[in-house]
Amino acid sequence: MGLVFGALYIGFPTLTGALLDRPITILPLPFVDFTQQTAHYLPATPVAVAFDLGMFLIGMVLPFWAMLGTFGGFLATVVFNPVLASPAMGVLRSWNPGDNMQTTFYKNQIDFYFSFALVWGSQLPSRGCFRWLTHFARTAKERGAMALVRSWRSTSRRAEAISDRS
Amino acid sequence: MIVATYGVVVALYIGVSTWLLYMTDGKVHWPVFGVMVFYALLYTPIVSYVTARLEGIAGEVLTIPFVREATLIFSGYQGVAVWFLPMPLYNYGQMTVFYRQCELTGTRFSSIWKSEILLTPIIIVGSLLFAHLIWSLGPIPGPQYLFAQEWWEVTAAQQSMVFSSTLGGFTEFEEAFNSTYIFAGLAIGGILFGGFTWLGAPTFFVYGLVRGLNQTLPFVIIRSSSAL
Repeated sequence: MGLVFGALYIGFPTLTGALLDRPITILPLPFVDFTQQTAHYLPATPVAVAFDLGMFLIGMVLPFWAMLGTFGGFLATVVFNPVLASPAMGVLRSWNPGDNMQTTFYKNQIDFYFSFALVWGSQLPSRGCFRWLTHFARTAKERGAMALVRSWRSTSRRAEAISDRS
Repeated sequence: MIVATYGVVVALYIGVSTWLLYMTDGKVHWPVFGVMVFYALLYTPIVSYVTARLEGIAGEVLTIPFVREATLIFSGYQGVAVWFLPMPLYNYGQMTVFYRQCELTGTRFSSIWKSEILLTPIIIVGSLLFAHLIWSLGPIPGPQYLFAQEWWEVTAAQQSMVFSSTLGGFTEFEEAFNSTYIFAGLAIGGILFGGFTWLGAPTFFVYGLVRGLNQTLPFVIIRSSSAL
């Protein structure tokens, strides 16, 4: 199935592209953009569909909860972008109904998402640091602060020993 | 030995970058030099250490966004050359996992280093050869390379927005930088993260949520649908 799909999706356009001025695509490459068609119902929302079976398979092997979270982020964007683009809110103000997916995506970045995501993304390292600090504090409480220093020294000596042995 | 190796590597990074900036501007920009020393002596070791521990504790990687952008903007440098410098800004934490895997499988570290020494020149020559071959096949972006044709403009515009931050005056970066939305992101993100953590939501779900925002792009839809 993979071979047949690959031949149709990538193989045929590559071969025809080598022989002709433009490649002939059986399935649309790299995606079909519906942003202009859905502009009336979903203003300022980039909508496009790709037919890459490889991405479909990647989605199956990536952690389920990560994919579910991504889908949640996608749904939130679909719900909130039209609200943010409404004249009452006026946040996504640069968008025009004739914009394609790429232009919509870029204008949204400039108008809102660049600033919003600056610290939105910093929640992840905060969570990681918090976990590390709680582990650090718990270990210090259970075994004493000097145990951490001894652990550090032994790790350092072990690394040196491995390095010398190699 | 390990500390000395790291010292030599970061000294080379800082030396080469300072020299390149000197060749471009005709002077040494000391705040940028200070930023590189900060990366080499504080940021990279701390982030690498925390990531290494975090990998063992929770299987997570510590990634702090926009560190490069923030530090270079605060350095006060005027121009775009600084964005193209090689900087000692890395997270070596995941290499700890790799070395632990080698240790567990009985692979000698010297074997890995020998293979790296052998591979590096092959990769350099191979990359140049294939880049030249692919470049000569047709114009990039062009009709032969459909994805690049569709996306290069957005990618270039996003990069130029960040690069414009050190140009001075009113730039695209100034246009995109809005403190109200930054605080909104902090507040909403904090509430959501606190709420999901309190509810005991899996870490991957929170990661996915952050990555999924403003990503109604074709590959996100197909990947999410396959998981569901």
